[in-house]
Amino acid sequence: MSMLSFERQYRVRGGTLFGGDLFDFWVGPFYVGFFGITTMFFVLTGTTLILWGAAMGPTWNIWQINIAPPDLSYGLRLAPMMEGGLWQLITVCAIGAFVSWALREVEIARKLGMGLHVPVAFGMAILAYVSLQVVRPVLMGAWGHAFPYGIYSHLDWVSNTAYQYLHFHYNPWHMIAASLFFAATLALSMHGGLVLSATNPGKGEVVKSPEHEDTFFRDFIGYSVGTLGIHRLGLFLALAGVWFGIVCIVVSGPFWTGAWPEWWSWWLNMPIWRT
Amino acid sequence: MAEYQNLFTSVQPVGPVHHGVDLPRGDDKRTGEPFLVHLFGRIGNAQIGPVYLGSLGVASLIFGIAAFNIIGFNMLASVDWNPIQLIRQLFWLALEPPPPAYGLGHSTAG
Repeated sequence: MSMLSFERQYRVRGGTLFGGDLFDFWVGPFYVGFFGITTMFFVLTGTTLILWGAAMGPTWNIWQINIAPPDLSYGLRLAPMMEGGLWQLITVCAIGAFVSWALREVEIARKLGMGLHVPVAFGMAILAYVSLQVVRPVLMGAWGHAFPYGIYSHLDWVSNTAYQYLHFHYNPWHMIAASLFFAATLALSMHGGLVLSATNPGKGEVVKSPEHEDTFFRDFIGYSVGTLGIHRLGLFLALAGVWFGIVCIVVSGPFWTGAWPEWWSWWLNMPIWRT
Repeated sequence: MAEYQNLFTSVQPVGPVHHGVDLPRGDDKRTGEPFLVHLFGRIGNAQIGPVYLGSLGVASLIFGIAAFNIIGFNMLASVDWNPIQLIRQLFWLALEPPPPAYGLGHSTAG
């Protein structure tokens, strides 16, 4: 793997969180580090366990392979390998791989003297996974409440779980999360469109500057958040979306077992309406 | 270690406001004198305005206000013109499309 002429100066020693200089090296373009080793360990172990589970299962159809969590009767105990134990080990491997990957990002950022925004943002995605597979099942008292590993089977889980609350879109935190995800997509797609439109002017026109970009959005809606601000806004909207997604599913079950449309009766029954 | 690590702009230089790049001949004037809001500057640009409305902007506002009013007054009519019930039941109110029996033909008003 060839290296760009200026690339070598960024391959600086140090910044590691664990293992000192022992794993401080690159393989081709990839930084390894202690957490690169642990990532590979968990990924290979987890993938092997998934393949084992598929081999023991009834099908090799990629859509239908399913590795289910233990039955609800096992509660929060360890289950036999073929009755959910595999699922439990795969979950441990998944969390190990995700956290290792985040810590590897931290080491790379520290090497380069950068902020930790990327690993923090990825950490929110990890938190969402842990909330679904660990926090909510623990609060509800059984691993069987977590989602199964399989393409169709996890879609079935989403549909079944949503219908347990009659109409999940009435979940107010789900509403906030969905709105934030749409807002993040809107903000960042407009940002992409704006930058591409400024750098790809019509024939005979010069490439435009942020002054033109600011003017476009001020003319358009009276405000331009600016070149740095749009990235803060996009990151905030995306992370807030994930956060409210976490809240909406952790609340469903441990703290609200009824139908979500019923939840809104407090609004209709407020005493201020009696006049 | 990381020295440029921030979530908010800690130092805001304040200079003359921007009135935007020159508009082509024949365009309308921009609306509003730009001003600064310190708290906006913590996240992104502090400057608010000016805005360019133009004839299509005016058309957009007219259609938008018309749609908002048609929806709103039909919702108000559906709660017997009771403004308190409009607020109370707002999330449950709707201006429905024509029933399927109309097919793609036109429905009648009211």
